[in-house]
Amino acid sequence: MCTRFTPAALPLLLSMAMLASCSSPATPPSLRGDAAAPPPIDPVIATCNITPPDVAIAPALLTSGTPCAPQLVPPFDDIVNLQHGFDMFSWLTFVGLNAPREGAAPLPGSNAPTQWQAWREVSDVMLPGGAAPGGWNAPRVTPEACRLIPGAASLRVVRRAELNKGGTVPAEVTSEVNQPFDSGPLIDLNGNYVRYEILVNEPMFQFIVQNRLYSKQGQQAFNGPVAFPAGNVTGGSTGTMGAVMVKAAWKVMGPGDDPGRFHTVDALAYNPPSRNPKVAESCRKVSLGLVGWHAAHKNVNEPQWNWSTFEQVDNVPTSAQVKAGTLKAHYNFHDPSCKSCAVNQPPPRPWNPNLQPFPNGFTSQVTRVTPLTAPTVALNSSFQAILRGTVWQNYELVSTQWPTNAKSKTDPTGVPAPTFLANTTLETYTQGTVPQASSSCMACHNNATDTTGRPSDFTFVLERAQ
Amino acid sequence: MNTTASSTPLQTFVDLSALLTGIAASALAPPLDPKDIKQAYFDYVQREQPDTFNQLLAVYAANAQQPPATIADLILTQSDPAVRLLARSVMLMWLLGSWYAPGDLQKANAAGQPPDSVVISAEAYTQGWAWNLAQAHPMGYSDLQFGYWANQPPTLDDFIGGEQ
Amino acid sequence: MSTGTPVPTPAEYDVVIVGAGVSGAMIAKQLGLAGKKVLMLEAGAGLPPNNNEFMQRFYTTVAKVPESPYTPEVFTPPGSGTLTNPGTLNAGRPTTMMLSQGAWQNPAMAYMDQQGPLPFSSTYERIAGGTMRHWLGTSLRNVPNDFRMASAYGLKPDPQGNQNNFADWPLSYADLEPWYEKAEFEIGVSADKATQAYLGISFPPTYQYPMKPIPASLVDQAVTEAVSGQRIDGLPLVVTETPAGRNSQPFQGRRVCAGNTNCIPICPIQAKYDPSITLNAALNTGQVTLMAQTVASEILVGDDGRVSGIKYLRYDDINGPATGQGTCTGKRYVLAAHAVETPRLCLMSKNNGETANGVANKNGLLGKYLMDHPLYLAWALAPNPVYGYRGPLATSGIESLRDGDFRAQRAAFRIEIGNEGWNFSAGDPWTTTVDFVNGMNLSQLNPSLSALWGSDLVNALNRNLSRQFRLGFLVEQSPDAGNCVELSTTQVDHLGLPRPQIRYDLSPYTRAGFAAAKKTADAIFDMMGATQYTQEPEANDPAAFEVDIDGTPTRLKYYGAGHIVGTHRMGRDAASSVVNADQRSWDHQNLFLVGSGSFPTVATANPTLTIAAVALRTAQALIDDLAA
Repeated sequence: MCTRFTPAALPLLLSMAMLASCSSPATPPSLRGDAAAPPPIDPVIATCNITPPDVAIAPALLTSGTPCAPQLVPPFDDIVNLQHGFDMFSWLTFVGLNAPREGAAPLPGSNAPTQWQAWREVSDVMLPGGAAPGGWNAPRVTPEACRLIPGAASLRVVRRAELNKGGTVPAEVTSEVNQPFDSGPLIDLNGNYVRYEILVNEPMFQFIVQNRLYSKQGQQAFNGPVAFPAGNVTGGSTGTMGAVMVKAAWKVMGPGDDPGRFHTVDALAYNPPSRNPKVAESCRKVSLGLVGWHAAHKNVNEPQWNWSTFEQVDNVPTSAQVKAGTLKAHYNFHDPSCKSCAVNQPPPRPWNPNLQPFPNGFTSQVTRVTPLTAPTVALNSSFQAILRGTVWQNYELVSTQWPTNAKSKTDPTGVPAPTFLANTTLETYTQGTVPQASSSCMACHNNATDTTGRPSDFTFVLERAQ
Repeated sequence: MNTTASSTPLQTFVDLSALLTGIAASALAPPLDPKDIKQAYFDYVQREQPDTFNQLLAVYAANAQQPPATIADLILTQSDPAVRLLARSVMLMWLLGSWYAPGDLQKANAAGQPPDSVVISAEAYTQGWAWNLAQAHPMGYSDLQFGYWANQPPTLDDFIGGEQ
Repeated sequence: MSTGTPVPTPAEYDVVIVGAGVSGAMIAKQLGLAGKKVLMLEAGAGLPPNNNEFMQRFYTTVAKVPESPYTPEVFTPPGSGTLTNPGTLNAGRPTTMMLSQGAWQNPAMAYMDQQGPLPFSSTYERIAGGTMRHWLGTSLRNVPNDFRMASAYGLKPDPQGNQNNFADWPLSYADLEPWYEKAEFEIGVSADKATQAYLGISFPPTYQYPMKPIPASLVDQAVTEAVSGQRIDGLPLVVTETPAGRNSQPFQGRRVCAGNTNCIPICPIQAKYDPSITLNAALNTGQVTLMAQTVASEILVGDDGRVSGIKYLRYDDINGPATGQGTCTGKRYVLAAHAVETPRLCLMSKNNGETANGVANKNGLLGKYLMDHPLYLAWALAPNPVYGYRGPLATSGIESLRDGDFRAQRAAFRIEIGNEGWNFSAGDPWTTTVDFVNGMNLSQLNPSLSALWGSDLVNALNRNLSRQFRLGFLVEQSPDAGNCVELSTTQVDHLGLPRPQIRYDLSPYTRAGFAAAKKTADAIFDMMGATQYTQEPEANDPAAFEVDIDGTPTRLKYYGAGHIVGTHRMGRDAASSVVNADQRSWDHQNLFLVGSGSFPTVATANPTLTIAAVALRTAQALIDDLAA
């Protein structure tokens, strides 16, 4: 049986012997007789959270850790039952990854350190010139424009005022001002751009680095296929975590915001230079509050990955609530008093995050098109109850998208449930239920490739290589 | 055949659709069915032709234990014209995602002209089975990945055989 | 849907552009990047925030014609069989549903006032993004002789001067080559230059297309196997991958092609380029203002003969009243409203009699030489499955027949290999499916009128659908002075503006090319061992004509390829052309008429790449002009 180990802590021969008895996927050949052996891409761990979905939601769950894979119970032909299993998986993932370390509970206040915040941001992996990213623990890259800000070295750099762009041109020509496929930035009620991060966990990072997929050249040399490690429970709490990627949406804490209702972080809002639209390079210190959170987890039984998405509870009303007039006093991205604001429309171009507040008083007027289901709302209440007294009680699961027929021979997306899924902070302008056009995690990510056009296993991270 | 004397009308509808279209019931209506087009179709026919639909379901349910060819003959040849035509409307619904009203099918036959139709919904169009019988996909709706068209498609049985 | 930015306060723009299609968008973007202030007037709807509405409209329409995702609605009410009356629309346009026997000359159904004798069968859009929203993606360059038909083949007009008015372009392939490169990068074209250097097309040694080629389909492979090494009329049959504005790698932040087989009318995931991408880039410059639902109604000309402004009408509802009007001014004016609406606007601009024949029309040639690629469609069943309905609508073609001595006698053509089974040809899979369920034979595949069920039905559909394929022959129509755009004297749109009037016919030169196309189709199907099902058109099909094929009079049907060309041709002098090589009007120094209307000949390539190339060239001319 394999236990978690760090090769640097053991004599080389001993670590190799241990490796020989581990089943570690994609062990690079360089481990044989190489003095600086790279770590296993997806090491075996003994902390997998195996809580089944039919337990009562009690405080003990707060320290039960991060799941390596969804735990499901019969009946397996009941889609509502399975959806609950996947939603539990999402909540346990949220709780686990928002803890400061595995086995601890998420900390109560704002600015609490979380596990996922220590992961690598994609711009620190896909470097200019296709340079190698250094090891997992290499220090984060602080852009030149930020270095004069006091404390810059210890602040996280949140550089995306948009979620688009990969491909053939470097960051200074691509504008990082957008959501998937150029649909538009999200502007809060203070006229500030919402900012985004894309982070990968260590197994995902190691797969990229050890297969040299961090550069166009490396991708061209790679023989493929791209298959990220899959999380799995092999026995008891033992298993591997597999690849997990997180997308976070952050709102600038400003007038009208109660930071006590958000998980916050002090950060540097960095705007990379861009030619069109013309954006000058800039950096400033900001206090950010988490408003949206995606986690995608590759699992052995769901090779199409499992897609979980959370929002801060004050984000938006549903369109039904707007119609009925049953609005709260305050939302993050909706002004209840504005009756003439166009709903779910992106701001007029150009989008320059240096110009804040957004010119001409524009703020995004957002509604949630598809309401949460009753079972999800009930599950949210249960978890929010055990998270009472922490900022985490102010977050809710929107839903989890999972493949109902992962082995389908005719549908590579595995017939996802639910068919459509959108986070109002991350897919603001493509919400809906129109096939192909409206947001569906799997339908869109199914088209993801690396820079060569090779399918890249449901992640757009690889297309950002330079 | 899944239908028994105590089958729900929905199950009867699925089984009769499978018989007529030649596509496995578990392909038309998989055990886990996030799209649930079967319910949408059931409701649609129920709304359009409530009486004839009940007759059609009744013919099937009463004869569910017979060999397939016998049931098909009963429905498509021996029943009232209204039932016979409605069976065709049901088949076309599954195959094309469009509603070809029984009366329009009859008119088309008589005139040798294409029948009128209406698209049931965007979901119905994208779940049309005629495209799968071509081993392809509805035009405008592909779940597939770049370059697939240079390779052989999945087999016909991969599409219609359903979950074993 | 957004109607664009609010009406701007009067301000002198550097350039006013009428039309937000590919030419307008590309010029606006280049001007914006150069720091010029641009105002765009778009007659139709503005840019939507996503594809939801387009796709919903497409999925739920029965007639999935090229116009089906876009506004204005083809039918009113939507989903009915009643064509929207063009007289009720503020920015109407022709649709393929208007071409039937009962519709094409009916003012309550057809937008264009078609005088005949044959119907002009191509259509266009009036929306932000323009007609190129529903292009297939084919990004071919013209061959060098395409630019010099008159001198290369000694072609002269017929004795009446109404047909075969071939003229050399004032640009050669070599002149345009650098602009083709720029256009290929602006669009994002996937191809391998090694397969594209035929019939005189050449590339600089260092040039690489932006993306690797799109893989050939199984249909392509079947055709290639059968025709490779064969010749017809002494010309080789060579199947070549078609360069396409379709992502084979991530490009411009857009996804790679997923083979939705829906390029026409719309790519659901925007793997296929469309001009909204360039329009958004133009808006990103911060220099460009787009006014949608704004119809240019007259070009004003001052005493000095220069354009002094453009009058426009605005509306909120496509069938509501005009809600505003104004005049905009700029240092330069660009008409980019496509090859029917640009001449229409010019002809409407009378300036109280000062330009009685319209603007830019001193020599009377504006509106003349209307051309298309009349398309010959031939369809068949392959002996073995070729699995159509998969991949982009077309991935390969036969380009090797596009040039040769024969062009002195008859039109050339290129062959597009279709990947969509009999969808275009026979309305499949609907037609064949209804045939085998309802015991009919509209597809010709069910002569016994069997009504099938169960595995018999499955097998009949599978056996037939999987072997269906078609070939499309794009014939180079001669430029004929008799084919022209004028103003209707009896029909107006909802704004009271005269609708376009069309005269159209196919010359003997063009018909002879069609005949050669049919013979080529027959020969290719023979080589493949395929069974042909091409149907002879009904005698009363308006788009049918007779042509002699080896002594036998044969009735053939032509379709419009969607390639509207020629109505403001470019040339070397003011007597014989409307614009010069920069697409600048000879008559008004500050006016440019851009787009496929500038083409002196329709040539043998699909026009889009050449439209983009000359647009980018004109953009540079404008920038230089403004700097001088």
